[in-house]
Amino acid sequence: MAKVYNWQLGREMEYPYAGGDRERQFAAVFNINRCIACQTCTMACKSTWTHYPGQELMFWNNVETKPYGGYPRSWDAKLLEMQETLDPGGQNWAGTGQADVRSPYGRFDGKTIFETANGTSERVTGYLPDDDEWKAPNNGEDHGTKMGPDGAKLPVHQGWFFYLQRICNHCSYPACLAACPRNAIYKRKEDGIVLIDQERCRGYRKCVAACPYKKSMYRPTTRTSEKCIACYPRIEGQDPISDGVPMETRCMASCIGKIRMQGLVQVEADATWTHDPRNPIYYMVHVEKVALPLYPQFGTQPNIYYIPPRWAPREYLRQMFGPGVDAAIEKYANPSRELLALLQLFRATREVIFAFDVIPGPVAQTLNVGGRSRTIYDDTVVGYDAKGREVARVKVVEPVVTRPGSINSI
Amino acid sequence: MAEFHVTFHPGGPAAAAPSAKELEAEDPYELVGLTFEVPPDHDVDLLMARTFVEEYALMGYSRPALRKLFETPFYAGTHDILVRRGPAYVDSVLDEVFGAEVPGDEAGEASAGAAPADEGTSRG
Ligand code: SF4
Ligand code: SF4
Repeated sequence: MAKVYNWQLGREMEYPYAGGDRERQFAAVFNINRCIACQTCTMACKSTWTHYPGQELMFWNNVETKPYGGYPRSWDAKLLEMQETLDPGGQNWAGTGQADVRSPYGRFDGKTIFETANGTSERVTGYLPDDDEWKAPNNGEDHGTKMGPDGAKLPVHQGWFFYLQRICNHCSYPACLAACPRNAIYKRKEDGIVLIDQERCRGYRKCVAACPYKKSMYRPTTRTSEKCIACYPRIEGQDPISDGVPMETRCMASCIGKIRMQGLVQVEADATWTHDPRNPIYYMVHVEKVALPLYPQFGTQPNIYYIPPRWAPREYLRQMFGPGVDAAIEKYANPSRELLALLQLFRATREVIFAFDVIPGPVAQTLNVGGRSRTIYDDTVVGYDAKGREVARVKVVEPVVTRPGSINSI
Repeated sequence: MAEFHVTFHPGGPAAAAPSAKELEAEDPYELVGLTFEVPPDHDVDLLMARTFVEEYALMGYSRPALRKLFETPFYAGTHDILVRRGPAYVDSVLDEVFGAEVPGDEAGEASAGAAPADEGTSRG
């Protein structure tokens, strides 16, 4: 095993390969607080990439209801339990987050999924889900609870819950890649996208077992494994409508709730991020620290970052997103003027935004947010594409159009 | 507690009365839940109500527009809170966000001070 640096853990860790060349990394921020689980993203992906024979149960993008089953069912609870068994009492964080990009959340002292596999015949700790576990992309939420003479009843949640949007994390240290005995999986230096070479893959499913997020899936008709390809022709700027600049993926661009923003960040040889606070993804992850990685303790350094839901119990969230949760929610619930403006840039354009600016505007209203008085300004936020051209300009105050009740029927 | 009802009529109205079936835990298609202890002071209605109100208020929504989100049954999340806790509860949350005068303007002023008067930002 080589030693690599994992900034999300704030320490070096063991990984089967030393880091290769890196230039840019595919990354995204998902704002859980705004997702309505419409599954438009899920269907945008499915209707583009996985509607062929053998892909019936394959959802490269899915949105699941937490803390219910997940897709595949209980994927996270199962792996957390395995890790706890292999590293009893050890899955803990220490220290406090630092201002630099090398240890923003403190240090994870427990063992990663690579480290708990040490001394076993596997390179990564994981498991292969049963076919039954892949049956629904949002088990629980989308199932009727009762059939009766009046029809089927859908569940009404009385406790807390939230939606978790999931795609491949195009991890900096992919577990799928680490586990493949054929070296069929590779990570591209130009954008960090992780792909499975369908010619080399023999369908051993080591990647399916190893991926902690269960985002590599087996296709019986081709006897190969497949996974999210990050819509790479769009990222490469090959889509005719993007005029040669990177364009966001199908799941991002179609998001009804405007919860998703995708980007490309510059990375160093050790996979830390190059200082670039005008990049919106960098700004949210490293300046504001409002967006956090999903289960960073697994050790793959995933690249989808989540703004945690402000209403869910903190202990649950700390296990899911690490020790940065409390500060992230504090930042989100009472955002800086700049962050508030940036949140409006989500889904304002389909081009990847490489830089943003905020132009101060007039006072909009005064509120008491989180127990503190604050003024809201109608600032303008501007986004720029890879060529530095302006591609989006929106204001903080959302325009409201009220349809008269008489024509308000769908 | 209100419940949604989706009525469907396979084969026409005559066949529209399926027998009532209770939830069976071992049915693989039934809800598979995980249980978590929720801290006793975790008032999920209050946290959700504040989330709804503050999310929209930060984007410039007015108090009357937000009150409508609770009154209209088509907005199930907000309306459920009104049904469960009553209008006075909803008004108290709205009062808190829109009404109260409290000292200090932490995030707003701090950030406004950092931004140059005309354009651009302080990042970089
Ligand atoms: S399209 Fe957006 S709002 Fe709808 S389920 Fe997907 S992430 Fe959530
Ligand atoms: S999320 Fe899973 S499939 Fe995607 S790169 Fe990471 S380990 Fe591989």
